[in-house]
This record gives sequence, structure tokens and C-alpha cells, in this order.
Amino acid sequence: MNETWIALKELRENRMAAVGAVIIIFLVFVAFFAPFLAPHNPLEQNLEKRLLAPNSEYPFGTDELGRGIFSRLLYGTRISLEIGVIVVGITALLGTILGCISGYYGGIVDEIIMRSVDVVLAFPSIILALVIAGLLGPGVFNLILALAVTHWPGYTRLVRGMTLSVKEKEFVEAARALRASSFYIMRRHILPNCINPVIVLATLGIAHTIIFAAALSFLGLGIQPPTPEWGAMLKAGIPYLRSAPFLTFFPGIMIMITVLAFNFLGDGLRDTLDPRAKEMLMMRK
Amino acid sequence: MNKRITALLICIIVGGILAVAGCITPPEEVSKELPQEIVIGMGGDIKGLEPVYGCPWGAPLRLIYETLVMEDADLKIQPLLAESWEVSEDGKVWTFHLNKGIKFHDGTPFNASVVKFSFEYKPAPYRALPHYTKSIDAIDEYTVKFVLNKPYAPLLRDVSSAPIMSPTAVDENGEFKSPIGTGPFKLDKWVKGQKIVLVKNENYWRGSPKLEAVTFKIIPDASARAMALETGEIDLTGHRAGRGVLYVSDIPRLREKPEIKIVEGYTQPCVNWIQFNTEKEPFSDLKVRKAVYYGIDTQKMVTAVVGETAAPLLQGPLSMPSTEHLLNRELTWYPYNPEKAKELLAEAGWKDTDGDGFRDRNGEQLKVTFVLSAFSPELPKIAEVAQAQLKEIGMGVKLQMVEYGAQQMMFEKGQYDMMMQMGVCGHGDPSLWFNYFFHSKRGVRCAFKDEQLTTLIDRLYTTVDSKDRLKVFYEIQEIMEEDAPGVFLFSDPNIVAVNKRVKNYEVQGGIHGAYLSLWKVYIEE
Repeated sequence: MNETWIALKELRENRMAAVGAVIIIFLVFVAFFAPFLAPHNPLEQNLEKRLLAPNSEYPFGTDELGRGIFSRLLYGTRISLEIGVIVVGITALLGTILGCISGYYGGIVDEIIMRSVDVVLAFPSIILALVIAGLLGPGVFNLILALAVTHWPGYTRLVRGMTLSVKEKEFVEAARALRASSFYIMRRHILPNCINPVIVLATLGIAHTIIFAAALSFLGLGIQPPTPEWGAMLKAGIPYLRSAPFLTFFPGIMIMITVLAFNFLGDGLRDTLDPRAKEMLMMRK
Repeated sequence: MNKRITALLICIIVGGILAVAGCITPPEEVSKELPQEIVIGMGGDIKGLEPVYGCPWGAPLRLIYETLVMEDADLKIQPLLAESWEVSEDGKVWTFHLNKGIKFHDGTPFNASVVKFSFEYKPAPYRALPHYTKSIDAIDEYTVKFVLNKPYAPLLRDVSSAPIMSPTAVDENGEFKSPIGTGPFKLDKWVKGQKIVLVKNENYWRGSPKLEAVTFKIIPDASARAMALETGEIDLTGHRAGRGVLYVSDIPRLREKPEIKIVEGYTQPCVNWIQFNTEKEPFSDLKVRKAVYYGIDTQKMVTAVVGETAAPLLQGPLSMPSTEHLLNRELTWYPYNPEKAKELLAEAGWKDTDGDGFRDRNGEQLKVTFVLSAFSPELPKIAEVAQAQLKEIGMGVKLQMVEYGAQQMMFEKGQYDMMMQMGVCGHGDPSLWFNYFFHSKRGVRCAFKDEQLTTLIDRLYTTVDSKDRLKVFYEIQEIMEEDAPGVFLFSDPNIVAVNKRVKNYEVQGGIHGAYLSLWKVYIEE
């Protein structure tokens, strides 16, 4: 508990991370209270009020079917954060468990797991995700699946490496001498020592996932209309790039802010949680 | 450190401003003698140089190869390589009298035996004539006769998109070698995926073209094409069948540009429509189909999404300008009436018993899958509007956007309830479209198999007399109205945006009509 407090305190002193955290808290708030904050129903079309420039009734203007862009963006926050958190949750959990097993047992188990990691990493992840989403068809579930399949190897590699070094430590040997089970050792001794870098990677991973999901939706393989998703909104705005640029401007800004916020926080977390990076920082100073 | 960043930022900003300013400053005055060259923006490449009958992608080839007859701006048949023609009483024997003294690019004379060669070259898609063609005979040097076993009404239309090539275009084994036609332009080079360059044929039989060269430049993105037109990088774009479709949203802006002219052509006799899967629930029920038709506000939808560029089809598939003479005006079709739609759904047993806004029957919700591909940017919007409008009458619609090939597969497997259908027609006669979607045997995408309709479509082909044929068209429309196999939405017009420097330009009919007037076009400030 004490350590966590110290970390949090340090984090607060890291200005970038603090900014990132504030933005994220704000976004979560927006996502949670979207129905109360949005002035209009994001799905309600108003064909008489198409492509209105930002005005007092529609703060960010209306899209090509007369829907309020502001309201759609608010609801879009929900979807993007949801996808980011779910995908990272799945991949981090799966990747960590596999990495831990791989590093702890070694031998043939290690070979199998790490070679499958190599196989996944051998493909450019966007292509692999495109193939999966293309084969299974577009939709939220398939989008999450495509993202999960392409994003777990990073965690596995990281945790395996950590496990390899931690398992040689004296306290692990001591536990083994006390005839602790492998499961107990992994749970009580190895995982807690690997968790910090995983947290850093996961925070950065959310940013990556959000932009990846937006890209897939942009290519028409992600969220299906009329769901207000940022990437899909960007795509829908392309024909109006010249005549009504606000259609693409605001979703683009939202994606940028969100991704930036997670990146700031992730970098800050790395500085505070990853001792080696901190040492290097000290040396530079 | 900070100072350096600031300096860098200033550099970037200043650089950016200079770059933008560079774009805005008008280009230097060019000499009055303009090169007689035109650049056309296309969305996609051609697939080969071989002449193919009625192919949607082959527009540039229509400047190399010509046809016996052509469709003019009003989709009427006009002579081209053939100066006149006659048809026998029974519609089985068609005789074409050819223009004399025409030569191919390589000097090979154009005559009746060449026509015979071209029409017999390869089976479909290279050949236009129906499978019951008995023979093609060269009567004398400039007369050719097509003899059929049965009458064939749209023969002239087919001939109007059947390119004629020189026998020297193929090698001794009959394999295609090089593109040699009678057209106003010859192939200079084809850089796959980038451009096709044609140069003028000085010996063109209607007089040497004024343009020295025509370049088809491939710019896949429609916005980029519109921008290229504004900057003067290209001179012409927009024809849908010529693979140059413009975004509807770009057209009003282009209209306001002083240097650009918008030329509007006839509407394509091809319909954009929502096809029902009549072979499974809920659309096997006629009442549900009618309810959807009543529930969709076609006028409002088309005006909002496709805007000024398209005509809404309020009276069925033939209610567009180019087929108005075939329209059965006695039919009322299904003007927007949500109340009626709700009544019909209730009659069919679909009622909202649980109050969630969607109707249900025997515990099953009225939710349907609407499959479409983003063939043009308007179609997904159309689908979204339909989705919202059908929600009003208590029908849930799930949109499923797939790639074009996948859509065909889903059609074959019946994995859809509604499907967006569109098309580009090879020629101006609607028989082609009816055959494609409604002929129970020959139809490529026939979801509504009806014996009576199939017989009528067959009769469209075999009835040569125009009055009798009109009756067949009327009957077909009656069946379509009665059975509502789909909701007919709008037809695409051919809108071409062209730089005003291009003089003497007009859009002609037919699938590649946008380019047929280029032989007399010239450039002048």
C-alpha cells in the first residue's frame, strides 16, 4: 500500500501524466453520463438539418443525415473507451498468464507459447486484424476479437522475460524449499513482481487499441452504422472534407486527445513504476 | 531547450504558411496557344485492351474501337460505322449497310467480313448477340446480315455496345495481340494502375480529331478527383459508367467555380433499389413487403442523400426520365404512408406486445438484416435513412456492410433479408435490367422467381413491334407493383464536370457516352 502511495505521489509530480490522467477521468465521466450530457439523440436523423455548421443548437454542427455531431461524439467516447478497456483487459490477462507459464516452466511449453507469439508477430498486425475482421464480418464482437488476437503477444513476451529473471531469485527458491506449489509461487511471488511493466504496457495499449479500432471502423470493418464510433464518423465525413470539414475535424480531434492522454499517462507510469527507466532518468539529470 | 522548440515551431508555422501561399498564388500566365490535350480523371483502371461487349470499365476503349450504331444523348439509336439498317417483319433478319472507305488504325479496310469476324470472335462477354443467333453473313463488301432463330428486340442496343476490331488485332491462333480499331484515337501507352494515353488517329474517317492526345489518369479517390479538376490537373471527370463518379457533396461547389461546367446527361436505365429476400420470413409475406414500401419516404431520402444528382423513382423502376415513355401511369405504387405501413404490419401479425418499439410475433422480434456494399458513398447513407424510417413503423434493421464480392456470395446463399442493389447498364433498354434481376432462369440476382414475370421478360426480347412491346412493359410494371419484390429508389444520372477550356463537349448516351464526343472536342481559353 505504501509503495502505491509513493508511486501515486510521484505520478502527481509528473505534469504530463497528471494532464493525461485528468483528461482520462474527464472522458470516463463523459462516457458514463453521455445520455445526460448529450443535447440530442445521437441516432435521430433530421434530414432537413443536414450539414449545418457549428451553431448554438448543435455545438459541433450536424452530419450528412442531420444528426448532432457533438452528441454523437459523446456517445462515441463510450464505445472507444469500452473497446479499449475490454481489449486491453483480455489481452493483458491472457498475455500475462501465458507469459508467466512460459517463463516459469520453460522447455516444451515455453517453445510452444513463444513460437505462437512469433507467428502472430510475424504478420503486420493491421493486416492480420483486417483479415480476421474481413473473414468474420464487421461488428463489435469481431472487432474486439480481431484486436485481441493481434495484441496479446506483447504482454506474453514482457512477462516471460520478467519471469525468467524473477524465478531465479532467492525468495522463489526459498518458497520452493518450503514445498510451495508452482501455482502459489507464480501467484504470490512472480506475478506481483511483473505487474508494474504490464500496467505501463496496458495503459499505452489502450491508446493503441483505440486508434486501431478507429482505423478498422474507418476501413468499414469495425463498428457498423448508425453506431456513433469516431473512426466510422471520420470515414463518413470524407466526401464532405471540402464542403463541411467539421464532419471530420471533431472526431479526429477526439481520437487525438484520447490517444494522447493515454500515452501521457502511460509514459508517466513508466517513469514512476519502472525503476530502470527512473535510474536512467536520474543519471541524465 | 525550450527556445529551440519554439524556434522549430516558428519554422514549421512559417513554412506551412509559405507552402499554403504557394498553392494560392495564381499560376503564371501561359501562352495563348494551348496544347490540344485533355486529361480525364478515372476512378479505376481498365482490365485489358481486348474489346468486351458492354463492359462498365472499358470506357477508354470506346475511343479506340467503334460500334456499328450508337446511342445519342436521348438514348436514341444513331448510325456510326453502319450508315443504315433494316429489320425484317418477323424481327429475325437484321441487315446493316456499312459506311464505305473506313480504315482501321493499321490500314486494314473495314468491311462486312470484319464485322462478321468481330461478332464471332469469342463468346460472351466478347460477343453481344443472343445464343439463338443462326448466322452472321457478309452479303457483299458493305452489307452484313444477322439471321436469328427467334426475334430479338434489343438487337440494335446490343450492337450499340459491341465494339468492332480489326482481324489484325489477333494472332494466327486467334489470341488477342494489340488494340486496333477504327476509332478517333490510338493507344499510345498503358501504364497499369496509373494512366492510359491515347494519341489521335489522323486518318479518322469522320475527320482528324483536333485533340492530339487523350490521357486517362487514374485517381481512385473521388474527392481527390474533384480537387484535381479544380487545380487544372485534369480537365474532365464524373461519368459514373466511365468510372469517374463524383461525390454528390462536391457538385454544388464545382458548380460555383467559374472555370468549371457541369454537364448533365440522361439517367442510367439502371435502378438503385432494395431487394427483398422473398424466399424467407418476414419478406415472403407480401403485406410486410408493401409495409416497407409504404414506410420508406423515397422522395425525402433521395433528396437528402443523393441530392440534385438523382431522380427518385416514385412510380416504380421505369419512372425515370430516360424511360418515361415506357411508364405505366395507371399504377399508384406506394406513396409514403407510415400509418398504412403500420396497419399492414399489424394485419400480418406483427404487433409490439412488449412495448420496446419493435414489433414481434409469437415471441419473435421483427428484425431484419440489410446487406450492402459501399459501392458508392451514397448507398450506406441511403441504408441508414431506411433504417431510421423503418424503425418508425416498428421494424428493426441491422445493417451489414460487406465487400462487393462478399455481397454476391451472401446473395447466392440467401444470407440476407434486404439487399441494396445497383448497377450500370450496358445500354439504354431496360430489358437488360429486368433480365438481370427478375428472370427466374437467366437472372444473375433473381430473388423473386415468378413464372409470369419470366415469360413477360422473354417476350420483351422477342417482341419487336414497339406498340406490342410497350404492352409487355406495362404488364411487367403491373406485376412489380402488385408483388413489390423490392423498393425502387433512384437512378443515377450521368453528371460530368468539365473545365470550360474544353469546347464542343457533350455527354452522349450509352454506357460510355461521356467520351464519345471527344473526337470533335478542342481546347481554347
